[in-house]
Amino acid sequence: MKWKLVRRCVQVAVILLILSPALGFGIFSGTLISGELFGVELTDVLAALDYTLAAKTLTAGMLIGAAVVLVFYFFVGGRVFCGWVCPVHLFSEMARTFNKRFGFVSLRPPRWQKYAVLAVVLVLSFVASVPVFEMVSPIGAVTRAMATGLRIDRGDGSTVVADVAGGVGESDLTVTLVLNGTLVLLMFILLMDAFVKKAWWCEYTCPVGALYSIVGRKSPVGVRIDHDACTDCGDCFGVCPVPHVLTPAVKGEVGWVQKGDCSNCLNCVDACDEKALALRFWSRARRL
Amino acid sequence: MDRRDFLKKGIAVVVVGGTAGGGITRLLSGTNATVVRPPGAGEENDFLAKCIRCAKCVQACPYDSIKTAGLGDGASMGTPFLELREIPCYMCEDLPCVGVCPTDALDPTLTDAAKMLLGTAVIVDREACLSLNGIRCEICYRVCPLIDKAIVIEKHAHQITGRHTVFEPVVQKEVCTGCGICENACPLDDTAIAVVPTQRGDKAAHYDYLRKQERVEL
Repeated sequence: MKWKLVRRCVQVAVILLILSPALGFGIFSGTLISGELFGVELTDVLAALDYTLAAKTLTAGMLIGAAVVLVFYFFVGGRVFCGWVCPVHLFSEMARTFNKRFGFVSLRPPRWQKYAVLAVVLVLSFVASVPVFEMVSPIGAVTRAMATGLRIDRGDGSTVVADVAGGVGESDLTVTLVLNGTLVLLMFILLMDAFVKKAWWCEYTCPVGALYSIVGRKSPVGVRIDHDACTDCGDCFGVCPVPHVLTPAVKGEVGWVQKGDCSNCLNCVDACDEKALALRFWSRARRL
Repeated sequence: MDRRDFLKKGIAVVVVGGTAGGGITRLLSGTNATVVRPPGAGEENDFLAKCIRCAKCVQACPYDSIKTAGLGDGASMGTPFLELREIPCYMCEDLPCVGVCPTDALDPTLTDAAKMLLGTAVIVDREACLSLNGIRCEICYRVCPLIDKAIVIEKHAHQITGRHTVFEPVVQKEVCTGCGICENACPLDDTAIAVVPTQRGDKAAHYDYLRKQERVEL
């Protein structure tokens, strides 16, 4: 079983969930900033932090929603949000494939950059009394466009959001996707991916990624390495978006691929012909 | 990381962060206080602090009245707003937009749509208003969901002809919710009645006592 196929299915499923109210099976409503899945309220952890700092008040319902998300990502690995859920990451992965041929400009952002962005975002949210990241967030912009941008225009001035099947027979039915202006940041990210530094946003800049890196640092799920099977071929380095997490494991220093920055995307597991890498839950021995 | 390295990185963060921060703060200063927010929204700066731009209210609105602000709207980017002339607020009894708000940016204690306050309707163009010209238009009065409460008709003699009656729509600001249905319905090319931000403060309330008096018939 190829993990990449599984991951793509999950990524597409997330997009379908966000589109679900427009497609007529509303099991999810809202966006990845704050949404409701089967009636359970879920709020992005950074959004909750920004809100608390900006509004300078505690809102119980939202904090519970953020706590649910926090606990979930602590268990499955913080940046599983990035690798498996976030649509910006999915689009970025596609744009990254162009980088090999079109990456004209080289740029090496420091690995601590995203933590600096996170710190600046939190301080600014407090000082300016506005949830600063949610204001410009490409994740917010793209999921807002999905959640509210799909409008089925009946041509008589009325729009239906749910009734797709009933309207198809009518000749004046047009489907329009209203794009929000804040998608400009997404375009910028994709251009950076394709022409400058692949994963410039997702791995080096995004404060949501930075926060989830911290959340997942001690997560029980991760990629385990079997040092006896590993032949140091380096295939895993070629497919990993954050190769520095592999270095200590492949060198034989530790038994796990470093958690935190790793999004458990499992590209390395797919790439390992020796089957030295595998997804594992918890560990009895951290060092082999 | 040695001390020199740490210092260098620290300075870089301060310089880059400060520049970005200054830029964003500048951006934030361009807020538009006249924008109409969904029901239950508080004072504009308070709303901007509390709204996390999740678009749940936009999605919950059955009439597509609530739109999302885009790039160039400063601190409003991603926030919900209404363009009442285009699609007004139809004052749903269950206020679905308020119910889905995760952060209290839309006040959850608001349960009665008649108590919401998006703004206050006023006749902004008295010269163009058909009713004020003596024509039996009164559309704003007819469409008002709080007819005879939020908008009443006051009759008086036509100032020019002297022999006709003017049926003047008068907004009762204590009752008007600012839903904008009147603004949406005005038949003129540019509406003569529009929802404006509700007057606040002591100075605006100073002459309220006069309007509450019994009218003296001349």
